[in-house]
Amino acid sequence: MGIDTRPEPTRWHERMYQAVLERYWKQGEGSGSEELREPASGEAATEPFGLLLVRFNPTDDETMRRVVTRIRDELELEPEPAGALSAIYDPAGRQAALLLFGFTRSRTHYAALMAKRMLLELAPGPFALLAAEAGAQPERDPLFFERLADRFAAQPEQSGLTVWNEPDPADESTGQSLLLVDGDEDMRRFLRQRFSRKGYRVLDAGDGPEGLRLFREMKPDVVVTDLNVAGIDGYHLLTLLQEEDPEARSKIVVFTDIRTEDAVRRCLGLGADDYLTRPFSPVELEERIEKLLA
Amino acid sequence: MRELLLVYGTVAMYAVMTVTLIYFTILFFSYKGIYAMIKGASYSRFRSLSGSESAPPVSMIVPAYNEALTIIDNVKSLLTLNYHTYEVIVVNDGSKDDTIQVLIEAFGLVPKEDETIRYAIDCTQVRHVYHNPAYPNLYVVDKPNGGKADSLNAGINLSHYPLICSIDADSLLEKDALIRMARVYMENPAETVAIGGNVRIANGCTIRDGVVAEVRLPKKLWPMMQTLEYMKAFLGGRIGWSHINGLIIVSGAFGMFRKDAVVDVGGYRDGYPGEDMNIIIKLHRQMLDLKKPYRVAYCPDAVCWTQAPDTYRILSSQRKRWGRGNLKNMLENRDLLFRPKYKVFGLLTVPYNILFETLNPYFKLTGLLALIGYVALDMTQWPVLLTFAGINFLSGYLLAIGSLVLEQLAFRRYPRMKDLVKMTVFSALMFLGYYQLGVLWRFQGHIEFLRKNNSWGVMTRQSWNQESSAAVNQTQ
Repeated sequence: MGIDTRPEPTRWHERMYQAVLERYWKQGEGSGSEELREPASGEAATEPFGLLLVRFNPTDDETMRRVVTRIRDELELEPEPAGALSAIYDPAGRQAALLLFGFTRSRTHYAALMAKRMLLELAPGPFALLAAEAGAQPERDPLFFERLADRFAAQPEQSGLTVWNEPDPADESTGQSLLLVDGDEDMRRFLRQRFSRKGYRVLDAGDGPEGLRLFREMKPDVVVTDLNVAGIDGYHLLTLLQEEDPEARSKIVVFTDIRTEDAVRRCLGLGADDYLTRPFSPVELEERIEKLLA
Repeated sequence: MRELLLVYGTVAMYAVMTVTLIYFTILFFSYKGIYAMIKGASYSRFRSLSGSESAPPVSMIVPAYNEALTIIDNVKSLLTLNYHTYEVIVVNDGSKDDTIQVLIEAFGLVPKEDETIRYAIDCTQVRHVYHNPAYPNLYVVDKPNGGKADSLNAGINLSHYPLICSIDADSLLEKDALIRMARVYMENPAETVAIGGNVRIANGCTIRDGVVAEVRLPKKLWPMMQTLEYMKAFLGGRIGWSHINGLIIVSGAFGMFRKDAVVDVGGYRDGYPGEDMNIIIKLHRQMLDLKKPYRVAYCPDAVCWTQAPDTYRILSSQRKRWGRGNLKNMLENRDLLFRPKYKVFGLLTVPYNILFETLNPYFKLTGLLALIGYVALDMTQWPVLLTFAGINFLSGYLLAIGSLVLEQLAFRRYPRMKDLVKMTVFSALMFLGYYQLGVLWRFQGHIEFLRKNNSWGVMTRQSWNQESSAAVNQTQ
């Protein structure tokens, strides 16, 4: 039940790549003469480029197109040359991608926030929205679009916006899972965002029993836990984690307000691999975790 | 006869005026105290402070008698407070139910053989101390029955830290309660000997995982009245009394003490209810005898949630017990009365307590008799009488509203408009019956005292889960 019956690219991410390629060639032709005039700009000639992926349950294909078109119209703040914003629909329906040529990272983010506000109004039910920035030379990397589409497929429809940065290939910890146990919701949200950006799969729990359950189910590579959690006291939680995982395959980082030497000694004795106190530096926390996982 | 009644009327009028004046003064000091507290708290970062080495370690002592139903949940909740170093010492006071067995099973406890107890204060010989390294902060003491004071003394003897904190086994502490109290201690560690906590009624609230998740007013009448009564006593009264260092009681449900001071006065007195008031009187007396500067503080933002009795029988029994304890304490310490040596405590607190708390039933009773006399002898002038009653009611109501406003200014625990209206209305309704019952119960308590009835009275424990309130455990 394709929307579009053109033969060539059959899959969504292939279509996205196709559109990017076309744009690239067209630009190449256009800027050919420019390059003669300004040879110094050389490498930086690739324009910035953002993507906005939208998915919801449209009542019919028409709704999908109407909503996406409206978002596109809204986003075209200053009328750009035709095709600066193009919508690529998934042949399988339900989702669409907006290619934001010429959009910097911050502008993409702004566009995403605007799209979110509009979707809250227009989308008939829950939706998923993902904003991403294409890395350098997307025209040479068809796999980027596939990864993006896969990542988007895994995102639940909770009327939310995800900002996705493709993890740096140099980043060793890509794809590793991290469990956060902390009673403070703001702290959890902050760390979750930071670590997901780094490419971790982040699970979080607000209390001890929930943390323990997630630990059993997901066997995370690293656990970051507070000592003051509801339900189970911190030291006992460490003991339980150790019992669950006697070979210490999961690394445990205690991340807490408690700054007494006795607590540090006790936690390290109970199998914690690292101890970090608050107030803290997020960079330090990330570095320490990376070191543990190396 | 007429002469007598006239004299009585004059005396009574001055007495009422005096007590009203005291009430308003105390309320005024409460406002002053709360203002200082709000300012202080807004600059404190309790979460961070709770992990700082400068907060002193605390030993929490939980006397438990027939608490098998709720003890596990409560201990689990106590083990997860925001505080860096503390221990929870549960003292099983020879319970007749299986309190000790459920504790041993739930926490995998084993007798700790290398624990030595220094009997610094008198208490019944301890049978065993249980411990489990997996719960390093928990100790359970098993000893033969000896009463609540005796259990507290045993806990003090075992405790390892310089501050002790007494907590009822049926109470829940807020996670920040300990650090908020410790902050008050840290403001003046040299002089502070005791700190009282704020006791609130948990009936009607939703409790999840040992934490009060949603605050609501109780649905039943008796707990509702007590909620307002506690609010008035704790916020409108105790903050003010502590402001002038005249606090006479730190609730047994939640209070913190400096251990050396408690050991110096010989620990808790045994064999009579009212041990929580008694220890504070002893501390005042000791410090004033030694002419040392000291402070009995109150910390209204350290909150302990407790279950209020919800039937007439249990409530009246509790109040009679309080009446007995109060009378006993006042008789024992009557020498403090009007002694300039004892400063605010001897000149204001004790006289106030004897005249207007302990003797309150007799004022009320003679007042009633006098009223009958006036009517019988046709001495009444109804407009005057009604005016007097009206003023009395209004001033009382104003005090109640004063503490409600204090609550709203400082804490806002009951944010719903509906609850506010309800509290305002019930504050007025309490004048129709509830206060009178309080007087009656106190009087009955005095009678019990004269009959040398020395028991603790009926007590019930209810599971925290309100839905399963059918599981009421009748004890003693």
